[in-house]
Amino acid sequence: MNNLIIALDGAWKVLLAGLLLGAGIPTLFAMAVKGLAMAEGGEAAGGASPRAAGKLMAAVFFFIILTLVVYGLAWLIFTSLGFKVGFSGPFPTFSK
Amino acid sequence: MGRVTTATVILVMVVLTALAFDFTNGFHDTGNAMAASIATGALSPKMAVTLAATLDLVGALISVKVALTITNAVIDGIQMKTGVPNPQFIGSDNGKQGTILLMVVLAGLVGGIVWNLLTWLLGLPSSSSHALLGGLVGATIAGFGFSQVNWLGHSTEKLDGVVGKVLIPSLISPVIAFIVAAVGTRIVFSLTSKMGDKFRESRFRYGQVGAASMVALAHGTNDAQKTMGVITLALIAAGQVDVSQEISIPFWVKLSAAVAIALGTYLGGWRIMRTLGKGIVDINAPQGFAGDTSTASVILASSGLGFALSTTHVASGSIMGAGVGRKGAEVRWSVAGRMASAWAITFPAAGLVGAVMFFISNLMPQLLGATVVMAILIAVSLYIWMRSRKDPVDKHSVGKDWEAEPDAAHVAEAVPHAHH
Repeated sequence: MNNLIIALDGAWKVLLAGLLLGAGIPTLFAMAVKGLAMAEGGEAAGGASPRAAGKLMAAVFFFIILTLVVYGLAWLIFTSLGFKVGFSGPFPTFSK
Repeated sequence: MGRVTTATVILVMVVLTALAFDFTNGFHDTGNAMAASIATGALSPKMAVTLAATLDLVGALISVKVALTITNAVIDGIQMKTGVPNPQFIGSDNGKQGTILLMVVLAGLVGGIVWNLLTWLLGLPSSSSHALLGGLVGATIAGFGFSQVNWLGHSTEKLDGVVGKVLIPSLISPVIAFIVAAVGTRIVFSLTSKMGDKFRESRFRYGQVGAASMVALAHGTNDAQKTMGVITLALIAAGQVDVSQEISIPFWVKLSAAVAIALGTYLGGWRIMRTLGKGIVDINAPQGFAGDTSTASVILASSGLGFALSTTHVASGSIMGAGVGRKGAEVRWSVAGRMASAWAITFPAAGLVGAVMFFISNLMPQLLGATVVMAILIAVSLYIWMRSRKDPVDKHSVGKDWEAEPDAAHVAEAVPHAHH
C-alpha cells in the first residue's frame, strides 16, 4: 500500500511539473512562431500583411525559451555531475 | 588457483554480456528521442542517429550518479548500503570468492538481451530497463528462490521493489506523458490555426530538433548508468574491487558502457523507430515538437522528483498524446495495443528467459555452464538477426507510409518459432 500512496503522491507532482514545462514550452514556442509569421505576413500569416511588431514578439518569446533551455541543461548536467542545484534569485547556484 | 581463474573467466563473460545488453539498450531506444524527428522530416535518419548517439555518449559520460544499487531495488538485501554484495549471495568455493552471483547476473543479462532482440524483431518499443530487471529477477528466483525477490518494497519514503520500481511507474508514466503531450499539442494547434501550413511545419521542425536532443541527453544520463551498476556489482562479486574504501566506478567501466550504448544508438533501431514514428499515428512537426517536449519534460521532472520510469513508456505515451491532441488525427489503436501488451509481458518474459538460463547453467560445472549460456545467447541473437533480414527495415525505409509496408502482423506470425 505504501508504494501506491508514494506513487500517487509522486505522480501528481510529475504531472504538474510535466504540464508546466511540457505544455508551457510548446505554448511559448507557438507564440514565438506566431510572431515570426506576423512579421513575414502573406501565406505564413493567413493572408495578413506583414507587421514589424511580430519580430519583437518572436524575440521576446524565443528569449524566454532559450533561458529555460539553458536552465534545463544546466540542471541536467550539474545534477548528473553530482552537484546540488538551487536558485538565488533568477540565477542558478551549484554546490557539491 | 584454479577457482580464481574460473571466477575471472566468468567475470569477463559477464562484462561482455553486460556491454552487449547496453548495446541493445542503445538501438532499442534510439526511437524514443528520434522517431518523431525522422517521421516529420525534421532530421534525416543519418543525422538523427548521429545526434542521438553523440548526446547519449555525452550524457553517459557526464553522469556520476551511477545506479550502483539498482539490483537492490528488486532483489532483497543483495547489496549492503554501500553497494557491496552481501557475502551470502556470492557464495564460496573452498574458502575463496564464489561465482553464484556472477552466474545469476549473467543469466539475467541474457534474459534482458533476448527479450530486447525479440521485441526489436517485432518492432515493438518495450522498456529496456524492464527487460534488464526482469531478467535479473528471473535469474534470482532460479538461483536464490522466490522469496529473495523484493516484490512489494520496504521503504516508506520512496518507491521500491518490483511493484514500486516496475509495475506502478509503467502504469502511470505513459498516462502522464499522454496527457502532457495532448494538452501541449492542443494549445499549439489552437495558437497557430491561422498560420500557413508550410510555414508552421518548417519552423516547428527546428523546435523539434531541440526537444529531441534534450531527450537523447537525458537518456544517456539515465540508461547507461544501469549497465555500469551491474558491471560494478559483478566486479565486486568477483573480488576485483577494493571494498574497504568507498566504491567508485572504474573509469574503463564508464567509458565502455557509454561507448556501447552510443554505438547501439548509432546503429539505430529502425524497426522500432518505424512503429513509434509512423505506426502509432501519423504526426506533423508541431505534434512531433509537442510530443518530444512532453517526453523531455516528463523524464526530467520525474528524475528530479525521484520517480523511476521508463524512457520508452514516456516517449510512446507522448506520441499517442500528440496524436489525439490534433483534431481529426487517427491513432492506430491496434498498434498501440500490441505495444502495450509487449510492455505488460516484458518483465515476466525476460524473467522467464533469465530463469531458464540459470537452470541450464546450473546443470553443469560453472565454467561450462557460463560458456553454454553464452553460446545459446549468440545462437539466438544470430537467429533473430537472420529472421530480421527477411523483412528488413533500414534508414531508407524507416519513414515510408505505414500501410505501404508488408503487414506487421506477418512478422508477428513468423516469430513464435524463434523461441526454440
